[in-house]
Amino acid sequence: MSAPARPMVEVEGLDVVLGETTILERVTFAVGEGKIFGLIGPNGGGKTTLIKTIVGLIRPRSGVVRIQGILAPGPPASRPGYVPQRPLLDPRFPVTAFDVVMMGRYGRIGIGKRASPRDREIVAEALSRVGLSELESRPIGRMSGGQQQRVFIARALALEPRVLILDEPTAGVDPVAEEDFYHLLMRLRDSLRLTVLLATHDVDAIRAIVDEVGFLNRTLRFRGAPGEVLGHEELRHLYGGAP
Amino acid sequence: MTGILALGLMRRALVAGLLVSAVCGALSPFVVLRRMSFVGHGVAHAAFGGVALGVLLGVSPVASGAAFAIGVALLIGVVGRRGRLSEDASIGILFASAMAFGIVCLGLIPGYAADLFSYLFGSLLAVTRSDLVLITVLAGATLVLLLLFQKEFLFVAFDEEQARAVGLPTTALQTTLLVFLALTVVISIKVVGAVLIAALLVVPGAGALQLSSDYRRVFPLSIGMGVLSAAGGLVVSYLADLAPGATIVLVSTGLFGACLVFGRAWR
Repeated sequence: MSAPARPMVEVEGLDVVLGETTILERVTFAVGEGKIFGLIGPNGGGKTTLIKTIVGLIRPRSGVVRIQGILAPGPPASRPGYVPQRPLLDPRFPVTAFDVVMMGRYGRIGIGKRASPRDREIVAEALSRVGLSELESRPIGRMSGGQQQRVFIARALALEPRVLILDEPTAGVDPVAEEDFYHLLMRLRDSLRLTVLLATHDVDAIRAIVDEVGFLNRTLRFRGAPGEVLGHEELRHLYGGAP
Repeated sequence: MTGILALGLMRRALVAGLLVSAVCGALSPFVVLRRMSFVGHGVAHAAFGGVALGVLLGVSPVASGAAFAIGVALLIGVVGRRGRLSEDASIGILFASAMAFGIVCLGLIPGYAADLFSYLFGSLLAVTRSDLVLITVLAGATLVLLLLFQKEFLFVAFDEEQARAVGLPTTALQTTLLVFLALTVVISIKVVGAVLIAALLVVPGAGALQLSSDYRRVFPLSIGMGVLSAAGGLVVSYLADLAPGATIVLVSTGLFGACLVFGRAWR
């Protein structure tokens, strides 16, 4: 096995330009194995763009992203699990929770091939890890917002990733579900030895679960331990004072 | 229409109608779920322009219709991905222009008013043996494709971005679906005509989605609804001497109404 300090996510000199607008400039950072990295910053500061670039949905103008040391977007086995910000697109889409999680597996199954019993096991296990085994045959549109969120996490886990990337995962989720969600995230990190990159507005979450924080506003302005970054002069007014 | 000739024509019409409606029924849930009904509309009218050009130039109308339909389908795909124009506006422009082009082409040929009508509204009873062979081959190919890649098409329809993130070739998948949609439209022109094809591509899927929220049932239901509409429509049109294409569409609309009413009770 690799050394414990091995960086699982490496971002080097990333420039992203969409149309005429520079969204990201010389963004560089790395996340070590098993760490939870919190990405904060104002709306429009480029958090979602950075995440989409790391996941391989946006091509940077320059710079590189490596996941597990492999240039992204790599083969399915080296892809990160990705939980997008958007809620369910079409609540009437005729698929069950199990079907949605199985979709996350498709990259591994291969195009035109059928799911094997092993794939079904992995999907069932992903659902059980997020505590939704009982609801696996419920249509996705008939689940609560918090349940859908957990289905999407299970879908990301079905790819058997080493890295999990979440974009504002608790937006629109009630406070109790939010707390449960962060507990779940810590459990997953510990049991699967996941490395987590989390974009969030939630200061409590940053203090409670994040190992390191980066403040992104076009470029990565500061990074460090949560207390340090949140206590920074420039951020105090944004995040409600010192820790 | 009387006697053996009418029965022979009717039998060929029935086979063509059933095949085309089965394929449309199989594509229909994708069209509805991806909100592509207007794409179907645009492609149908583009195909009409191509068919008319083929007639004018004396080349195979099916081939030129297919070329036009595929061209427009791909153009819509490109515009949808990176255009500055919204998809519905681009389709609006493309389909009216292709339609106008077709009407101008047919107008240049003396005595073609009847054909104009048949391409616009279908001429199921004029389906030839070679038409039927073509319809059978294309219908078979489309059904096999949908069976092979159903899970991928479904994922792209559900969440294209996520499908790309797990490594599926989403652009290739979408392009393939559009090409097969275009081919289906071309083979459907004889059956219901360019104006009414969109109904066959939308109504069965919309009806099936009223009845079930499990895609494993939605697809067979949609195919069944398409086939039932074609069979019912043809029988009614034969008995009451009505336009077959339009009757098929009206029967399918009636079935959709029934799905709407009973769907609530079942779910």
